[in-house]
Amino acid sequence: MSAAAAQAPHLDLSVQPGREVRALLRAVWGVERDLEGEYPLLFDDTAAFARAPGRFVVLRADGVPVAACGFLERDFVTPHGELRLVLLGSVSTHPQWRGRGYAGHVLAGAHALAEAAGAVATLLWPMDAAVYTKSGYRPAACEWNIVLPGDLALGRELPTRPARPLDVGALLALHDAHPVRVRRTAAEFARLAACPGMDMRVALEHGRPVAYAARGRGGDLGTCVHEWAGEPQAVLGLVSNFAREDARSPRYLLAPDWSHPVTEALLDVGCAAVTRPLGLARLANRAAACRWVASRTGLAVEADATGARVALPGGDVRLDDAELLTAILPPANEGAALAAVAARLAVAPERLPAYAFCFGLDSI
Amino acid sequence: MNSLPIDSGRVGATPSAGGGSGGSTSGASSGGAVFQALLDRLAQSAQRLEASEGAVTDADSLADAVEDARSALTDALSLKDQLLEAYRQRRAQGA
Repeated sequence: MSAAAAQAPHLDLSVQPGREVRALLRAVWGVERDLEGEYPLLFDDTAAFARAPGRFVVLRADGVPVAACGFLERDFVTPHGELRLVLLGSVSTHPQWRGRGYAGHVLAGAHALAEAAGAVATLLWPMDAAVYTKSGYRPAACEWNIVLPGDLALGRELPTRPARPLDVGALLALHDAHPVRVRRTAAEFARLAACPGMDMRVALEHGRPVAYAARGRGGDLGTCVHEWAGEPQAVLGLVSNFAREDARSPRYLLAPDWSHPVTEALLDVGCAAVTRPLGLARLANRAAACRWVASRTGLAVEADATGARVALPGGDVRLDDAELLTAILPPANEGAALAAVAARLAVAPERLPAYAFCFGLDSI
Repeated sequence: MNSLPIDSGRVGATPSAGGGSGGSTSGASSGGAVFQALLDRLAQSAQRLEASEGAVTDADSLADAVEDARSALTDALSLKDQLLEAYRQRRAQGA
């Protein structure tokens, strides 16, 4: 530990644009890791900062950034309306300042900011889940991973080429046809599509993009087709091409828990699949969560100091924050945890979940 | 398109009688891929545990390391069960 760290420093927590933490991130992740390229929306200096969805919660010690947490507001489009969540990522503490709980400081700050922003929950993808479960995070939301056999031959073989910057408008229109997704602007899509290490391909018909699919992002998702949209047979053709490229390296399709001709076709031919939690989440704005549950169930749901009070004919039922989160973002949309909350509210389990999901490009 | 969640009974789906449009997959090859995927995840879990070694410098980080190890072990045990199940399916399919 440095001499400066040995003394009690003056600590200050603030919200900053990404450029303020570049040196800290280099010290933590190494110069070779291109976080700005991988997560461009966290470093969006092109928009006015007040309106930018991405920022960092930064802890300074004597004016120097020593810990930081990426913060990205996103609107999740679901079959039942839009759900605002805040994605947290790139949690970093300078090596010389570890062991003091500083990461916990920035996480708590980011969580408070998410609550103030009206987000129902914070969502993250940890390298080490145990650190976050101690802070109240739990598995949440649901994704499907469908294994793509190395001999997959579905769909239409159309001319393909790598995606180009000028495709963004057409690809965004295809993406926006998904009933379950994260809302993106064209500018955001353009920045995400330029992530390093990504293989995004477009299928063309009459010279126009009718489908696209992407594999890889930075050093992650190399075996996963994590983003796809468009005419289903054309998507299946692109996915089959990805699947057949390397039989020694099985590939997977990331999909929402919402029926789509692409996922149904893969399951119809016997592709094995697993469901798993999308990430770890923690309830943020209790009032927003209560409004969501009220909207889904038609029940009167009011937030109070410790949870929610639900008015039922037989008397009020109380839900704590964990139960509220389970109602909206259960780790399995037909699981026991969801069923238990649904039983307490005397509603069918399928009346509760948001079925929220994000494709791989949206994660941070 | 069905405006519904995916039928949860399709987890670990086996080939349908008619197959899909032009499909040429088999349950055996899919099962093999799942088997490999689970092996990969077990390896990643072990790597994560290894990575936490040497990071213990004080009592707090020791507690964290113990918790990490417990979590990794829980993951490994869960993965083990999935792995055995995938192995049984693979054997049953004659792969």
